[in-house]
Amino acid sequence: MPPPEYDLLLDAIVPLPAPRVDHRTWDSQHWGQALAAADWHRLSPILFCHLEHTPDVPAAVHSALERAYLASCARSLFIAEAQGQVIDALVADDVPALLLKGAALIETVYPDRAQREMLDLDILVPTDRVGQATRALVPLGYRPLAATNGHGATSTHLAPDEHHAPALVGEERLVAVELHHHITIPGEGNRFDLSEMWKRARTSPRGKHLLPSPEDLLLHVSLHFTRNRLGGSYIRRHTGGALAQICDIARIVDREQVRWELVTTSARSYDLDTRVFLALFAARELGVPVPETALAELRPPRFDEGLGRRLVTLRVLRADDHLPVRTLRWMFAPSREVLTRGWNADPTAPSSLARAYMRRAKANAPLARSALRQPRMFIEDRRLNGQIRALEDRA
Amino acid sequence: MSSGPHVVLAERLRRQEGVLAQEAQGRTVLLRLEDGGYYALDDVGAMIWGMCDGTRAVGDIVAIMCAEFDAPEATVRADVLEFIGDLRRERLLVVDAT
Repeated sequence: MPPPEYDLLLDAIVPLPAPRVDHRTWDSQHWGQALAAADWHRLSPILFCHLEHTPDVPAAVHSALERAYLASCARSLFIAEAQGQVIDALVADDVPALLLKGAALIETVYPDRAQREMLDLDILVPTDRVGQATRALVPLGYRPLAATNGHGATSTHLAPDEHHAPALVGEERLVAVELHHHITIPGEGNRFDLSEMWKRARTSPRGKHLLPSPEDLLLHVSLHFTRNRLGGSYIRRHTGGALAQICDIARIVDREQVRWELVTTSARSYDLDTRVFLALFAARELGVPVPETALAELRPPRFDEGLGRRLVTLRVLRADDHLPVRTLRWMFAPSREVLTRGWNADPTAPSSLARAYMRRAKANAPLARSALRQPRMFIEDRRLNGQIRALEDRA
Repeated sequence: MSSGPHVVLAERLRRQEGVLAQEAQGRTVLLRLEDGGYYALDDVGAMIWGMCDGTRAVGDIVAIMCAEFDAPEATVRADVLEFIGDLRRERLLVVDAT
């Protein structure tokens, strides 16, 4: 049973005929927890819209949510302006552009764009045109932002198996553009050919760019949800934004004509069925009307519903860090490749590798300390990691 | 907002280049692209903002607002002038010189 603040967030994103929670008797502590959870899950703007005309919401809560909503509105205006310029530049250079994630969702399932917080602009371009696309944006002032791991180690190269080039940042440094050439990262799916996704794409009524088909939109959002929840790297270890992603799924299911058989067929042929299933299972657990037949099609062999519910409890209805889904060996004895690619070590110089190891250990220390303060959660997280990994292996 | 620059009733005002506006949940949000500064207008503010399109003098806007709201003309004029002064001070409106 989720804490009451989560029931309020769920009422905002997946309303039921009767509200899950009665907040009229809440005290300031309850409201404080609700605001913190909304912020963590990037749902403050949508919670503002949900509560705006609701009586008995304290003025301070209303005011805090209104500020978040207006800030989101301003940011979305800024990104929309930047998006128009970026698309024009790409089209002028004959580079096809397909919007992904927030930019695509805002055009398709969020009539009030301020309700969907956006952090950057994600655009898919053909694999062999990434360099051309990057150059097309230079006259607009966009330059590659050194890929950073947040602790001083940087890299500006595009590794061949990364799914997008280093983010391009405008001169004002307010909008980052990520040019993707694929939607998966190493370890996800079978590196399928994206030509079918390009063929299924829709032309945007608002411009010269393309939008994913409803099925590809859902598949990509689901894939992203699971990637973020599994925490493939120490950076993506937290639960931040989990419910915003559930909201994305709910909006697609509610507002798009999804051909579910195409979702399941694509997920299976791309070897993404377990990942898509976990996202859709979590969404259904939280009230999104995902058809049971689609879930049955994607369900991994020997999937245990208890495991799915633990995923929801530990990785969705929670507002803090969790451990990355990695082995102890990965945590304490990283490979030379990890240190080289992620921490800028020179693979031929033992001293450089040692310094990179120390930088990495220092960066991970707060996570380890945090985990050890909550031993029960630590053990549950570790168990969940192993169970999901085994599930994927079996699938 | 505090009072802005002196506003002349005969002046026509228009929106500053690089200022975007969007309606959102009953408010009008203005964004100044130059630095990302943003402002929220209520429905009265949005009405005045909508009339600042370079075709009307400030005095005309005051007259329209007087007709719209049942309030003393001096009060309406003072409020409109103060509001427009604020918008100019925040570089959201400029005097139309054409």
